[in-house]
Amino acid sequence: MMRSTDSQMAPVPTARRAFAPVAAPAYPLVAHDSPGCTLAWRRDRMHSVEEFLRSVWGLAAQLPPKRYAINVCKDRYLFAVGFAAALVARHISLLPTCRAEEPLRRLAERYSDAYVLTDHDLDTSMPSFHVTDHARHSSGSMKIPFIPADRIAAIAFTSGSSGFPQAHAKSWGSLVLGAKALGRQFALSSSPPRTAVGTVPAQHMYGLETTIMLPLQWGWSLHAGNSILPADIRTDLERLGSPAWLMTTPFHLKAYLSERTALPGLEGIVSATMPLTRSAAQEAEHIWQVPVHEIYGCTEGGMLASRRTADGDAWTLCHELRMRQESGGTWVKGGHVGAWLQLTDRITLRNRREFLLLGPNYDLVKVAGKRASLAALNAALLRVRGVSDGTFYWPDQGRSGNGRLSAFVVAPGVSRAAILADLRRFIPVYFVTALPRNATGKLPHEQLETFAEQVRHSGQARTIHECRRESFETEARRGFSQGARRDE
Amino acid sequence: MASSPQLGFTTASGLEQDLAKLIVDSLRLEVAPGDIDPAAPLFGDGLGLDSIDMLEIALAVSKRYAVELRSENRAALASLRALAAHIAQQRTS
Repeated sequence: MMRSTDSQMAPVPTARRAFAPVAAPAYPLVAHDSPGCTLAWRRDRMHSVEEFLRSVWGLAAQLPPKRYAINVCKDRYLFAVGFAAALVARHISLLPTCRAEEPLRRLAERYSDAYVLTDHDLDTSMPSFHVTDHARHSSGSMKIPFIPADRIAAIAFTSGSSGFPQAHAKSWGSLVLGAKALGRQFALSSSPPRTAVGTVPAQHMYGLETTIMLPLQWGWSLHAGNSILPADIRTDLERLGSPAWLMTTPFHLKAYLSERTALPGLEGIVSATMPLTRSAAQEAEHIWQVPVHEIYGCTEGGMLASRRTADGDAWTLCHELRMRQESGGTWVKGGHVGAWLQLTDRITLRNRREFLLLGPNYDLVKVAGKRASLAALNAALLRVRGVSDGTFYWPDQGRSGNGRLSAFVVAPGVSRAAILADLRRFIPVYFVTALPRNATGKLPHEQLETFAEQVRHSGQARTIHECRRESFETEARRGFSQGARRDE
Repeated sequence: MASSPQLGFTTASGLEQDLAKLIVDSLRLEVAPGDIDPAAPLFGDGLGLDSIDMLEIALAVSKRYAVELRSENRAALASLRALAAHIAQQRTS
Protein backbone atom coordinates (compact mmCIF):
# COMPACT_ATOMS: atom_id res chain seq x y z
CA MET A 1 0.00 0.00 0.00
CA MET A 2 1.37 3.43 -0.90
CA ARG A 3 2.29 5.86 1.78
CA SER A 4 2.98 9.56 1.84
CA THR A 5 4.99 11.38 4.41
CA ASP A 6 3.53 14.69 5.42
CA SER A 7 6.08 16.50 7.52
CA GLN A 8 4.97 19.57 9.43
CA MET A 9 8.47 20.81 10.14
CA ALA A 10 8.83 24.43 9.17
CA PRO A 11 11.75 25.25 6.86
CA VAL A 12 14.87 25.78 8.93
CA PRO A 13 17.77 28.02 7.80
CA THR A 14 20.72 25.91 6.68
CA ALA A 15 23.11 27.34 9.28
CA ARG A 16 20.82 26.31 12.13
CA ARG A 17 19.74 22.99 10.73
CA ALA A 18 22.29 21.05 12.75
CA PHE A 19 20.65 22.32 15.94
CA ALA A 20 17.08 21.90 14.84
CA PRO A 21 15.01 19.57 17.00
CA VAL A 22 14.42 16.10 15.66
CA ALA A 23 11.19 15.98 13.72
CA ALA A 24 8.32 14.45 15.66
CA PRO A 25 7.48 10.95 14.48
CA ALA A 26 4.62 10.61 12.04
CA TYR A 27 1.85 8.07 12.43
CA PRO A 28 -0.35 6.68 9.66
CA LEU A 29 -4.03 7.55 9.48
CA VAL A 30 -5.02 3.90 9.25
CA ALA A 31 -3.33 0.64 10.20
CA HIS A 32 -5.24 -1.80 8.00
CA ASP A 33 -3.44 -4.51 6.05
CA SER A 34 -4.76 -3.67 2.61
CA PRO A 35 -6.91 -1.12 0.74
CA GLY A 36 -9.67 -3.71 0.43
CA CYS A 37 -10.15 -4.06 4.20
CA THR A 38 -13.45 -2.92 5.64
CA LEU A 39 -13.11 0.43 7.33
CA ALA A 40 -16.75 0.98 8.15
CA TRP A 41 -20.17 -0.61 8.18
CA ARG A 42 -22.99 1.73 7.34
CA ARG A 43 -26.40 0.17 7.47
CA ASP A 44 -26.01 -2.78 5.09
CA ARG A 45 -23.07 -1.44 3.16
CA MET A 46 -19.35 -1.69 3.84
CA HIS A 47 -16.83 1.03 3.03
CA SER A 48 -13.30 -0.09 2.22
CA VAL A 49 -10.12 1.56 3.37
CA GLU A 50 -9.50 2.60 -0.24
CA GLU A 51 -12.87 4.31 -0.45
CA PHE A 52 -12.24 6.04 2.86
CA LEU A 53 -8.82 7.34 1.81
CA ARG A 54 -10.09 8.62 -1.54
CA SER A 55 -12.91 10.44 0.23
CA VAL A 56 -10.52 11.92 2.78
CA TRP A 57 -8.10 13.28 0.18
CA GLY A 58 -10.97 14.43 -2.03
CA LEU A 59 -12.70 16.25 0.81
CA ALA A 60 -9.45 17.71 2.16
CA ALA A 61 -8.82 19.37 -1.19
CA GLN A 62 -12.17 21.14 -1.04
CA LEU A 63 -12.29 22.35 2.55
CA PRO A 64 -12.43 26.10 3.11
CA PRO A 65 -9.09 27.75 3.96
CA LYS A 66 -9.84 28.08 7.64
CA ARG A 67 -8.20 26.94 10.83
CA TYR A 68 -10.90 25.03 12.69
CA ALA A 69 -13.49 22.47 11.62
CA ILE A 70 -16.46 22.08 13.97
CA ASN A 71 -17.38 18.44 13.34
CA VAL A 72 -21.01 17.77 14.27
CA CYS A 73 -21.52 14.69 12.08
CA LYS A 74 -23.78 12.09 13.66
CA ASP A 75 -22.85 9.26 11.30
CA ARG A 76 -19.54 7.90 12.58
CA TYR A 77 -18.20 7.13 9.09
CA LEU A 78 -18.90 10.65 7.89
CA PHE A 79 -17.45 11.98 11.15
CA ALA A 80 -14.28 9.98 10.46
CA VAL A 81 -14.05 11.20 6.85
CA GLY A 82 -14.47 14.81 8.02
CA PHE A 83 -12.05 14.40 10.92
CA ALA A 84 -9.37 12.82 8.74
CA ALA A 85 -9.84 15.33 5.91
CA ALA A 86 -9.45 18.21 8.37
CA LEU A 87 -6.35 16.53 9.77
CA VAL A 88 -4.81 16.18 6.32
CA ALA A 89 -5.73 19.81 5.53
CA ARG A 90 -4.06 20.86 8.81
CA HIS A 91 -7.32 22.07 10.30
CA ILE A 92 -8.08 21.41 13.96
CA SER A 93 -11.32 19.52 14.58
CA LEU A 94 -13.46 21.06 17.30
CA LEU A 95 -15.65 18.42 18.91
CA PRO A 96 -18.71 19.99 20.54
CA THR A 97 -20.53 17.71 22.95
CA CYS A 98 -23.83 19.39 22.09
CA ARG A 99 -25.26 20.08 18.63
CA ALA A 100 -27.75 22.69 19.80
CA GLU A 101 -27.62 26.05 18.07
CA GLU A 102 -26.65 28.20 21.04
CA PRO A 103 -23.58 26.20 22.16
CA LEU A 104 -22.43 26.06 18.53
CA ARG A 105 -22.80 29.82 18.23
CA ARG A 106 -20.72 30.30 21.38
CA LEU A 107 -18.10 27.93 20.02
CA ALA A 108 -17.95 29.85 16.75
CA GLU A 109 -17.50 33.09 18.70
CA ARG A 110 -14.58 31.59 20.57
CA TYR A 111 -13.02 30.12 17.42
CA SER A 112 -13.85 32.69 14.80
CA ASP A 113 -11.84 31.09 11.98
CA ALA A 114 -14.05 28.03 11.90
CA TYR A 115 -16.46 26.26 9.61
CA VAL A 116 -18.90 23.45 10.36
CA LEU A 117 -18.58 19.92 9.03
CA THR A 118 -22.02 18.33 9.12
CA ASP A 119 -24.06 15.44 7.79
CA HIS A 120 -27.44 16.97 8.57
CA ASP A 121 -29.17 20.30 8.10
CA LEU A 122 -28.25 22.83 10.73
CA ASP A 123 -30.00 26.00 11.68
CA THR A 124 -26.88 28.12 11.74
CA SER A 125 -25.43 31.15 10.02
CA MET A 126 -21.93 29.69 10.25
CA PRO A 127 -20.24 28.53 7.06
CA SER A 128 -21.21 24.88 6.80
CA PHE A 129 -19.81 22.07 4.72
CA HIS A 130 -21.90 18.97 4.09
CA VAL A 131 -19.64 15.93 4.38
CA THR A 132 -22.37 13.78 2.83
CA ASP A 133 -22.01 15.51 -0.53
CA HIS A 134 -18.27 14.93 -0.65
CA ALA A 135 -17.85 11.53 0.94
CA ARG A 136 -17.95 9.53 -2.28
CA HIS A 137 -14.90 10.69 -4.12
CA SER A 138 -13.45 8.26 -6.55
CA SER A 139 -10.80 10.64 -7.84
CA GLY A 140 -8.94 11.26 -4.55
CA SER A 141 -5.62 9.63 -3.82
CA MET A 142 -5.49 6.34 -1.96
CA LYS A 143 -2.20 7.07 -0.26
CA ILE A 144 -2.16 6.63 3.49
CA PRO A 145 -1.41 10.03 5.06
CA PHE A 146 1.32 10.04 7.68
CA ILE A 147 0.54 12.76 10.19
CA PRO A 148 3.20 14.28 12.48
CA ALA A 149 2.62 13.25 16.08
CA ASP A 150 2.74 16.80 17.36
CA ARG A 151 0.04 18.16 15.05
CA ILE A 152 -3.05 19.22 17.01
CA ALA A 153 -5.78 17.00 15.63
CA ALA A 154 -8.72 17.90 17.80
CA ILE A 155 -10.00 19.99 20.66
CA ALA A 156 -12.36 18.18 23.02
CA PHE A 157 -14.47 19.98 25.60
CA THR A 158 -15.50 19.36 29.18
CA SER A 159 -17.96 21.38 31.21
CA GLY A 160 -15.09 22.58 33.38
CA SER A 161 -15.11 23.65 37.00
CA SER A 162 -15.56 27.28 35.93
CA GLY A 163 -18.89 26.49 34.36
CA PHE A 164 -17.56 27.33 30.88
CA PRO A 165 -16.57 24.55 28.48
CA GLN A 166 -12.89 23.85 28.90
CA ALA A 167 -10.89 23.08 25.81
CA HIS A 168 -8.47 20.17 25.72
CA ALA A 169 -6.16 20.02 22.72
CA LYS A 170 -5.31 16.54 21.46
CA SER A 171 -2.25 15.95 19.31
CA TRP A 172 -2.40 13.25 16.66
CA GLY A 173 0.37 11.43 18.52
CA SER A 174 -1.60 11.35 21.79
CA LEU A 175 -4.67 10.01 19.99
CA VAL A 176 -2.69 7.30 18.20
CA LEU A 177 -0.79 6.24 21.32
CA GLY A 178 -4.07 6.28 23.26
CA ALA A 179 -5.68 3.94 20.72
CA LYS A 180 -2.68 1.61 20.86
CA ALA A 181 -2.79 1.62 24.66
CA LEU A 182 -6.50 0.83 24.57
CA GLY A 183 -5.94 -2.21 22.39
CA ARG A 184 -3.06 -3.48 24.51
CA GLN A 185 -5.04 -2.97 27.69
CA PHE A 186 -7.80 -5.30 26.48
CA ALA A 187 -5.44 -7.62 24.57
CA LEU A 188 -7.38 -6.87 21.39
CA SER A 189 -6.61 -8.72 18.21
CA SER A 190 -6.66 -7.41 14.66
CA SER A 191 -7.06 -10.81 13.14
CA PRO A 192 -9.76 -11.26 12.16
CA PRO A 193 -10.78 -7.59 12.27
CA ARG A 194 -13.55 -6.68 14.66
CA THR A 195 -16.14 -3.92 14.49
CA ALA A 196 -16.49 -1.23 17.13
CA VAL A 197 -20.13 -0.43 17.82
CA GLY A 198 -20.78 2.57 20.07
CA THR A 199 -23.57 4.22 22.00
CA VAL A 200 -21.45 7.29 22.77
CA PRO A 201 -21.05 10.15 20.25
CA ALA A 202 -17.73 10.40 18.42
CA GLN A 203 -17.45 13.97 19.69
CA HIS A 204 -16.93 12.74 23.27
CA MET A 205 -13.35 11.81 24.15
CA TYR A 206 -14.40 8.29 25.14
CA GLY A 207 -16.38 7.89 21.92
CA LEU A 208 -13.52 9.29 19.83
CA GLU A 209 -11.02 6.91 21.42
CA THR A 210 -13.08 3.74 21.26
CA THR A 211 -15.28 4.13 18.17
CA ILE A 212 -13.01 6.12 15.82
CA MET A 213 -9.33 5.97 16.82
CA LEU A 214 -9.36 2.34 17.94
CA PRO A 215 -10.76 1.03 14.61
CA LEU A 216 -8.43 3.28 12.59
CA GLN A 217 -5.33 2.20 14.51
CA TRP A 218 -6.09 -1.49 15.03
CA GLY A 219 -7.24 -2.29 11.52
CA TRP A 220 -10.80 -2.73 12.76
CA SER A 221 -14.05 -1.50 11.25
CA LEU A 222 -16.16 1.19 12.76
CA HIS A 223 -19.91 0.99 12.87
CA ALA A 224 -21.37 4.22 11.53
CA GLY A 225 -24.62 4.00 13.47
CA ASN A 226 -25.67 5.77 16.62
CA SER A 227 -28.16 3.29 17.94
CA ILE A 228 -29.04 3.28 21.58
CA LEU A 229 -32.45 1.60 21.70
CA PRO A 230 -32.22 -2.13 22.51
CA ALA A 231 -34.01 -3.21 19.32
CA ASP A 232 -31.71 -1.03 17.19
CA ILE A 233 -28.51 -2.35 18.77
CA ARG A 234 -29.69 -5.92 18.28
CA THR A 235 -30.43 -5.24 14.57
CA ASP A 236 -27.05 -3.53 14.08
CA LEU A 237 -25.22 -6.54 15.48
CA GLU A 238 -27.31 -9.00 13.47
CA ARG A 239 -26.38 -7.20 10.24
CA LEU A 240 -22.64 -7.05 10.94
CA GLY A 241 -20.34 -9.39 9.14
CA SER A 242 -17.68 -9.49 11.81
CA PRO A 243 -17.42 -10.00 15.57
CA ALA A 244 -18.10 -6.79 17.45
CA TRP A 245 -17.23 -4.91 20.61
CA LEU A 246 -19.77 -2.64 22.21
CA MET A 247 -18.44 0.68 23.53
CA THR A 248 -21.09 1.89 25.91
CA THR A 249 -21.97 3.35 29.31
CA PRO A 250 -23.42 1.85 32.50
CA PHE A 251 -26.67 3.62 31.72
CA HIS A 252 -27.10 1.95 28.33
CA LEU A 253 -25.82 -1.37 29.63
CA LYS A 254 -28.38 -1.35 32.42
CA ALA A 255 -31.13 -0.84 29.83
CA TYR A 256 -29.92 -3.76 27.69
CA LEU A 257 -29.66 -5.90 30.80
CA SER A 258 -33.19 -5.12 31.87
CA GLU A 259 -34.49 -5.94 28.39
CA ARG A 260 -32.28 -9.03 28.10
CA THR A 261 -31.41 -7.69 24.66
CA ALA A 262 -29.89 -10.32 22.37
CA LEU A 263 -26.44 -9.12 21.26
CA PRO A 264 -25.36 -11.61 18.56
CA GLY A 265 -21.70 -11.74 17.58
CA LEU A 266 -20.61 -9.68 20.54
CA GLU A 267 -17.06 -10.36 21.72
CA GLY A 268 -16.56 -7.76 24.42
CA ILE A 269 -18.06 -4.78 26.17
CA VAL A 270 -16.30 -1.60 27.23
CA SER A 271 -17.97 0.77 29.66
CA ALA A 272 -17.03 4.27 30.80
CA THR A 273 -18.35 7.72 31.81
CA MET A 274 -19.74 6.68 35.21
CA PRO A 275 -19.14 3.83 37.65
CA LEU A 276 -20.41 0.40 36.67
CA THR A 277 -21.53 -1.78 39.56
CA ARG A 278 -19.89 -5.14 39.94
CA SER A 279 -23.28 -6.87 39.98
CA ALA A 280 -24.21 -5.30 36.62
CA ALA A 281 -20.85 -6.34 35.16
CA GLN A 282 -21.27 -9.89 36.44
CA GLU A 283 -24.80 -10.10 35.10
CA ALA A 284 -23.65 -8.80 31.70
CA GLU A 285 -20.79 -11.32 31.55
CA HIS A 286 -23.21 -14.08 32.46
CA ILE A 287 -25.91 -13.15 29.96
CA TRP A 288 -23.75 -12.34 26.96
CA GLN A 289 -20.75 -14.52 27.84
CA VAL A 290 -18.24 -11.78 27.03
CA PRO A 291 -15.73 -9.84 29.14
CA VAL A 292 -16.92 -6.45 30.43
CA HIS A 293 -14.08 -3.97 30.77
CA GLU A 294 -14.46 -0.63 32.46
CA ILE A 295 -12.31 2.36 31.59
CA TYR A 296 -11.11 4.98 34.02
CA GLY A 297 -10.03 8.16 32.31
CA CYS A 298 -10.68 11.83 31.73
CA THR A 299 -10.98 14.16 28.78
CA GLU A 300 -7.58 15.67 29.58
CA GLY A 301 -5.72 12.36 29.56
CA GLY A 302 -8.01 9.93 27.78
CA MET A 303 -8.03 6.36 29.04
CA LEU A 304 -5.75 5.96 32.06
CA ALA A 305 -6.63 2.56 33.46
CA SER A 306 -9.13 -0.26 33.20
CA ARG A 307 -10.53 -3.16 35.13
CA ARG A 308 -12.60 -6.21 34.48
CA THR A 309 -15.30 -5.03 36.86
CA ALA A 310 -16.74 -8.47 37.55
CA ASP A 311 -13.38 -9.59 38.95
CA GLY A 312 -12.57 -6.87 41.44
CA ASP A 313 -12.29 -3.22 42.38
CA ALA A 314 -8.65 -2.58 41.47
CA TRP A 315 -7.80 -0.61 38.35
CA THR A 316 -4.81 -1.52 36.21
CA LEU A 317 -2.90 1.46 34.92
CA CYS A 318 -2.18 1.55 31.17
CA HIS A 319 1.18 -0.06 30.57
CA GLU A 320 2.93 3.07 29.29
CA LEU A 321 1.77 5.30 32.15
CA ARG A 322 3.27 6.05 35.54
CA MET A 323 1.39 7.22 38.60
CA ARG A 324 2.67 9.00 41.68
CA GLN A 325 1.17 10.64 44.73
CA GLU A 326 2.38 13.80 46.32
CA SER A 327 0.83 16.25 48.81
CA GLY A 328 -2.44 14.39 48.77
CA GLY A 329 -2.76 14.56 44.99
CA THR A 330 -2.35 11.86 42.37
CA TRP A 331 -0.45 12.45 39.14
CA VAL A 332 -0.07 10.44 35.99
CA LYS A 333 2.34 10.77 33.04
CA GLY A 334 3.85 9.02 30.05
CA GLY A 335 2.55 7.40 26.86
CA HIS A 336 -0.45 9.19 25.39
CA VAL A 337 -0.82 11.41 28.49
CA GLY A 338 2.55 13.13 28.09
CA ALA A 339 3.63 15.40 30.96
CA TRP A 340 2.41 14.96 34.55
CA LEU A 341 -1.35 15.39 34.80
CA GLN A 342 -3.07 15.80 38.15
CA LEU A 343 -6.20 13.72 38.71
CA THR A 344 -9.19 15.02 40.59
CA ASP A 345 -10.24 11.69 42.11
CA ARG A 346 -9.17 10.29 45.44
CA ILE A 347 -6.94 7.32 44.76
CA THR A 348 -5.07 4.70 46.79
CA LEU A 349 -2.10 3.13 45.08
CA ARG A 350 -1.79 -0.60 45.67
CA ASN A 351 1.42 -0.96 43.74
CA ARG A 352 3.04 0.58 40.69
CA ARG A 353 0.35 -0.69 38.35
CA GLU A 354 -2.78 -1.05 40.44
CA PHE A 355 -4.92 1.43 42.35
CA LEU A 356 -8.30 1.87 43.97
CA LEU A 357 -10.64 4.78 43.35
CA LEU A 358 -11.97 5.95 46.70
CA GLY A 359 -15.65 6.58 46.54
CA PRO A 360 -17.69 6.84 43.39
CA ASN A 361 -17.50 9.75 41.07
CA TYR A 362 -20.18 12.20 42.11
CA ASP A 363 -19.37 14.79 39.52
CA LEU A 364 -21.63 13.85 36.64
CA VAL A 365 -25.25 14.65 37.36
CA LYS A 366 -28.36 15.14 35.34
CA VAL A 367 -30.22 18.43 35.56
CA ALA A 368 -33.35 19.08 33.57
CA GLY A 369 -32.58 16.39 31.07
CA LYS A 370 -28.97 17.50 30.55
CA ARG A 371 -25.86 16.06 32.05
CA ALA A 372 -23.89 18.64 33.97
CA SER A 373 -20.83 18.72 36.12
CA LEU A 374 -21.39 19.05 39.85
CA ALA A 375 -18.20 21.08 40.03
CA ALA A 376 -19.54 23.46 37.40
CA LEU A 377 -22.84 23.85 39.25
CA ASN A 378 -20.99 24.49 42.50
CA ALA A 379 -18.82 27.09 40.82
CA ALA A 380 -21.92 28.85 39.45
CA LEU A 381 -23.53 28.78 42.87
CA LEU A 382 -20.49 30.32 44.52
CA ARG A 383 -20.41 33.14 41.97
CA VAL A 384 -23.80 34.40 43.11
CA ARG A 385 -23.27 37.64 45.03
CA GLY A 386 -23.62 37.14 48.76
CA VAL A 387 -23.27 33.38 48.75
CA SER A 388 -20.49 32.67 51.20
CA ASP A 389 -20.65 28.92 50.94
CA GLY A 390 -22.76 26.41 49.13
CA THR A 391 -22.80 23.05 47.52
CA PHE A 392 -24.92 20.85 45.39
CA TYR A 393 -25.71 17.45 46.72
CA TRP A 394 -26.65 14.31 44.88
CA PRO A 395 -28.08 11.64 47.17
CA ASP A 396 -26.81 8.11 46.72
CA GLN A 397 -30.07 6.86 45.33
CA GLY A 398 -29.73 9.57 42.68
CA ARG A 399 -27.17 7.49 40.94
CA SER A 400 -29.66 4.73 40.57
CA GLY A 401 -32.18 7.21 39.32
CA ASN A 402 -34.46 7.86 42.27
CA GLY A 403 -33.06 10.97 43.88
CA ARG A 404 -33.05 14.66 43.11
CA LEU A 405 -30.18 17.05 43.03
CA SER A 406 -30.31 19.51 45.93
CA ALA A 407 -28.42 22.63 46.87
CA PHE A 408 -27.38 23.85 50.31
CA VAL A 409 -26.60 27.54 50.45
CA VAL A 410 -25.06 29.81 53.10
CA ALA A 411 -26.16 33.30 52.07
CA PRO A 412 -27.14 35.57 54.97
CA GLY A 413 -29.09 38.60 53.82
CA VAL A 414 -29.37 37.55 50.20
CA SER A 415 -32.77 37.17 48.62
CA ARG A 416 -33.81 33.79 47.46
CA ALA A 417 -34.72 35.37 44.15
CA ALA A 418 -31.15 36.38 43.42
CA ILE A 419 -29.96 32.87 44.03
CA LEU A 420 -32.83 31.01 42.51
CA ALA A 421 -32.68 33.00 39.32
CA ASP A 422 -29.64 30.93 38.55
CA LEU A 423 -30.88 27.56 39.50
CA ARG A 424 -32.80 25.26 37.32
CA ARG A 425 -36.37 24.62 38.30
CA PHE A 426 -35.85 21.00 39.18
CA ILE A 427 -33.42 21.64 42.02
CA PRO A 428 -34.74 21.88 45.58
CA VAL A 429 -32.89 24.57 47.54
CA TYR A 430 -32.34 24.41 51.29
CA PHE A 431 -31.09 27.48 53.15
CA VAL A 432 -28.81 26.44 55.98
CA THR A 433 -26.58 28.24 58.43
CA ALA A 434 -23.42 26.25 57.78
CA LEU A 435 -22.19 23.22 55.91
CA PRO A 436 -20.73 20.20 57.72
CA ARG A 437 -17.20 20.86 56.54
CA ASN A 438 -14.41 18.97 58.25
CA ALA A 439 -11.24 20.43 59.74
CA THR A 440 -9.59 20.67 56.35
CA GLY A 441 -12.57 22.47 54.87
CA LYS A 442 -13.69 19.47 52.84
CA LEU A 443 -17.20 18.08 52.62
CA PRO A 444 -17.03 14.30 53.05
CA HIS A 445 -19.88 12.74 51.14
CA GLU A 446 -20.88 10.49 54.03
CA GLN A 447 -21.25 13.52 56.29
CA LEU A 448 -23.26 15.32 53.65
CA GLU A 449 -25.59 12.31 53.46
CA THR A 450 -26.39 12.54 57.17
CA PHE A 451 -26.67 16.30 56.99
CA ALA A 452 -29.06 16.11 54.06
CA GLU A 453 -31.25 13.69 55.95
CA GLN A 454 -31.37 15.99 58.97
CA VAL A 455 -32.13 19.12 56.94
CA ARG A 456 -34.91 17.44 55.03
CA HIS A 457 -36.65 16.39 58.20
CA SER A 458 -36.10 19.64 60.07
CA GLY A 459 -38.77 21.60 58.26
CA GLN A 460 -36.27 23.84 56.50
CA ALA A 461 -36.99 22.15 53.25
CA ARG A 462 -38.73 24.24 50.66
CA THR A 463 -39.72 22.81 47.39
CA ILE A 464 -38.53 24.55 44.32
CA HIS A 465 -42.12 25.38 43.45
CA GLU A 466 -42.46 27.50 46.57
CA CYS A 467 -39.12 29.12 45.92
CA ARG A 468 -39.88 29.81 42.30
CA ARG A 469 -43.19 31.40 43.14
CA GLU A 470 -41.51 33.68 45.61
CA SER A 471 -38.76 34.35 43.16
CA PHE A 472 -41.14 35.39 40.39
CA GLU A 473 -43.19 37.55 42.76
CA THR A 474 -40.10 39.32 44.04
CA GLU A 475 -38.76 39.86 40.56
CA ALA A 476 -42.11 41.18 39.39
CA ARG A 477 -42.20 43.72 42.20
CA ARG A 478 -38.67 44.93 41.61
CA GLY A 479 -38.73 44.74 37.87
CA PHE A 480 -35.93 42.83 36.27
CA SER A 481 -32.98 42.95 38.58
CA GLN A 482 -29.60 41.97 37.38
CA GLY A 483 -29.49 38.30 38.13
CA ALA A 484 -26.29 36.41 38.60
CA ARG A 485 -24.95 34.83 35.52
CA ARG A 486 -26.23 31.44 34.52
CA ASP A 487 -23.85 29.00 33.04
CA GLU A 488 -24.76 25.63 31.71
CA MET B 1 -58.64 2.19 18.52
CA ALA B 2 -59.36 -1.20 19.93
CA SER B 3 -59.67 -1.45 23.66
CA SER B 4 -57.00 -3.16 25.67
CA PRO B 5 -58.53 -5.50 28.21
CA GLN B 6 -55.35 -5.74 30.30
CA LEU B 7 -54.87 -2.01 30.54
CA GLY B 8 -58.47 -1.03 30.34
CA PHE B 9 -58.27 1.70 27.72
CA THR B 10 -61.30 2.30 25.67
CA THR B 11 -60.25 5.60 24.13
CA ALA B 12 -57.18 7.04 22.51
CA SER B 13 -57.02 9.77 25.13
CA GLY B 14 -57.12 7.09 27.84
CA LEU B 15 -53.92 5.61 26.45
CA GLU B 16 -52.43 9.08 26.03
CA GLN B 17 -53.12 9.83 29.71
CA ASP B 18 -51.65 6.54 30.82
CA LEU B 19 -48.60 7.11 28.66
CA ALA B 20 -48.19 10.67 29.98
CA LYS B 21 -48.17 9.32 33.52
CA LEU B 22 -45.69 6.62 32.53
CA ILE B 23 -43.34 9.21 31.01
CA VAL B 24 -43.61 11.57 33.97
CA ASP B 25 -43.02 8.72 36.42
CA SER B 26 -40.18 7.04 34.59
CA LEU B 27 -38.35 10.30 33.89
CA ARG B 28 -39.37 11.82 37.25
CA LEU B 29 -40.46 15.01 35.51
CA GLU B 30 -41.82 17.86 37.56
CA VAL B 31 -44.88 18.38 35.44
CA ALA B 32 -48.33 16.97 35.89
CA PRO B 33 -49.16 14.30 33.30
CA GLY B 34 -52.24 16.30 32.34
CA ASP B 35 -50.07 19.34 31.56
CA ILE B 36 -48.21 17.62 28.75
CA ASP B 37 -49.52 18.84 25.43
CA PRO B 38 -50.22 15.61 23.50
CA ALA B 39 -49.29 17.30 20.23
CA ALA B 40 -46.08 18.97 21.43
CA PRO B 41 -42.69 17.48 20.54
CA LEU B 42 -41.37 15.18 23.26
CA PHE B 43 -37.76 15.82 22.33
CA GLY B 44 -35.89 19.02 21.62
CA ASP B 45 -37.96 22.16 22.13
CA GLY B 46 -41.08 20.56 23.61
CA LEU B 47 -40.48 18.66 26.83
CA GLY B 48 -36.78 19.03 26.19
CA LEU B 49 -36.01 15.34 26.46
CA ASP B 50 -32.77 13.89 25.15
CA SER B 51 -31.58 10.54 23.80
CA ILE B 52 -31.09 9.07 27.27
CA ASP B 53 -34.68 9.98 28.07
CA MET B 54 -35.69 8.29 24.84
CA LEU B 55 -34.03 5.10 26.07
CA GLU B 56 -35.88 5.37 29.40
CA ILE B 57 -39.17 5.85 27.58
CA ALA B 58 -38.43 2.88 25.31
CA LEU B 59 -37.78 0.68 28.35
CA ALA B 60 -40.90 1.84 30.16
CA VAL B 61 -43.04 1.34 27.04
CA SER B 62 -41.58 -2.12 26.50
CA LYS B 63 -42.35 -3.14 30.08
CA ARG B 64 -45.84 -1.68 30.25
CA TYR B 65 -47.19 -2.24 26.75
CA ALA B 66 -44.83 -4.95 25.43
CA VAL B 67 -44.11 -2.76 22.43
CA GLU B 68 -40.52 -2.47 21.21
CA LEU B 69 -39.57 1.00 19.98
CA ARG B 70 -37.04 1.47 17.18
CA SER B 71 -35.42 4.65 15.98
CA GLU B 72 -36.77 3.94 12.47
CA ASN B 73 -40.19 4.65 14.02
CA ARG B 74 -38.94 8.19 14.51
CA ALA B 75 -42.36 9.61 13.69
CA ALA B 76 -43.80 7.61 16.58
CA LEU B 77 -41.54 9.42 18.99
CA ALA B 78 -42.56 12.86 17.76
CA SER B 79 -45.23 13.51 20.38
CA LEU B 80 -47.26 11.89 23.10
CA ARG B 81 -50.15 11.49 20.67
CA ALA B 82 -47.99 9.91 17.97
CA LEU B 83 -46.45 7.54 20.48
CA ALA B 84 -49.83 6.51 21.86
CA ALA B 85 -51.10 5.88 18.32
CA HIS B 86 -48.01 3.81 17.52
CA ILE B 87 -48.40 1.72 20.67
CA ALA B 88 -52.10 1.16 19.95
CA GLN B 89 -51.31 0.11 16.39
CA GLN B 90 -48.50 -2.25 17.45
CA ARG B 91 -50.66 -3.86 20.09
CA THR B 92 -53.45 -4.61 17.67
CA SER B 93 -51.31 -5.65 14.68
